[in-house]
Parts: sequence; C-alpha cells; structure tokens
Amino acid sequence: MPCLEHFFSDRGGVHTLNITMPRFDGDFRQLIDKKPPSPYVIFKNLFTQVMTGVGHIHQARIVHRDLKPDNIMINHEGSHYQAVITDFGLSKELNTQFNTRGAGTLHYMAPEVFVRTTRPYAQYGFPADIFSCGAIGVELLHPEIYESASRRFMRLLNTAGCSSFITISGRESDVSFL
Amino acid sequence: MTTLGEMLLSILSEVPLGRPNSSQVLKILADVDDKPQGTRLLLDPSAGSNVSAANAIRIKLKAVVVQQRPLLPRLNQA
Repeated sequence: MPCLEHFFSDRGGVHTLNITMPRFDGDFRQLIDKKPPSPYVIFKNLFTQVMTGVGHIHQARIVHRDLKPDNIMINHEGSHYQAVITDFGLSKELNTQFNTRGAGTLHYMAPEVFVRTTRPYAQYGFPADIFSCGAIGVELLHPEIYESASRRFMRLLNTAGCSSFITISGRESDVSFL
Repeated sequence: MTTLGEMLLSILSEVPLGRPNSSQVLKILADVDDKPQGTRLLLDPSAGSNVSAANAIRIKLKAVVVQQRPLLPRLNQA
C-alpha cells in the first residue's frame, strides 16, 4: 500500500535494532504553511491518497487516532504529490467500537473522542479518523479560518476550565487524556 | 455534483454513525467539483463564550458553514 509508511530493514546487531525508513520531502504541515497556489487541485489529489490509506488500515481493523498534517508525509516531483500516512503510535486495533481513553491531537479530534473523557460509556471508532481527515482538509483549503476557529476553541476550553489535559509534545493543541 | 464544502461538512458531521466511511468519501471525491465554489467556510457569529467543553465542541462544528457562491457572476466578470 503506497499510502502507508514502509520499513526497509530491521537488521541490527545482537543488542541493537536498526529501523531504516524512507526519506520524505516534507510533511502536510509544511505544505499548508507554504500556501500552495492551487490548493483545490492538491487537496483532491492528496485527499484521495490519504483516504485510500485510511480505508486500508480500517480494513485491517485499526484506528489511527492521530491523523494530522504533521503525520502525513509528502513526496513531490513537479506537480505530482504522493502522501504517506505515518506515526501509528496511538493506533489501536478494534472490532466494532471500543471503550478506551480518548487520545489524539485536540484540533483534529472528533467530538465523540473528546467527550469520551466526560462520558465514560461513550464510544468511538473508525469515523473518528474520517473526522480528522476532514479537519486537515479544512486547514489546507482555508488555513486562516481554521486558525481563527482553533484559537476560539482553545479560549472556550480555557473558559470552561478544562484542565485535565497533559501536553505531550510541547504544543498547546497536542494532548492526551489522563 | 457535490462541492468540496458539502463533502467537508458531511465529514465533520457531529453524529459519528452519520459520517461517511473512507470508500464513501472516495466516491464523493471522484464526483466533486474542482472549482472552489461552495467551499468558502465562515465563522458562526452566534457562538458565545461562556459555555461548557461539550458545547465548545458543538460550536466548533457549527463554526464551519458553507456559503454557496454562484459561479455565474464571476463568469460574467471574466
């Protein structure tokens, strides 16, 4: 599956494990920051590849749970872009829906994952990844509006006194639930 | 014909079971209009500030609305 990250080799010594991974030109975050001149064409091309990859991992009964621009690597030659989904650190295998703690990055987190912290019996599953892809799409097509909505969202969370988050990467929006 | 804005709204649907799956999104993408019409997203000015966390999520979703921009006036200008 070309849309998913591949390992080239895991050969190591007696006490070491070497993992060789392909090199990428950049990630989706850098693409958004560049403000490409024709985002609609790029969106349709890359979104098709991302959704193909997401469909593949869903067929394998795996939820990624942390889809965001930083976790989608990009290779490009001229006007041809190739997207690759990476970072399966938070992914989980499930059968239908499952009761587990919410995890992911706040700005790309589906509502049902978020409310999982306050409603212990709430469930979420594969559609949570689809929501994250949609949020990535909005950010590529309208970064200024997405940024404004995200700032307002964080202010509202602070106003509501949501202090049960821990930052896992130094960024205000990257959180995991206690 | 589906617009990108309509597709994004369906993906950002608040009801998880009503959200399309990856193969449905791919089918919509194949039919989506390449032109940027109908993809303009606006903030909902009615969003308040003194709300619970769950309401904040709902407001975040309501903040994304589609404004259908007619293509005809732009063609006339051209």
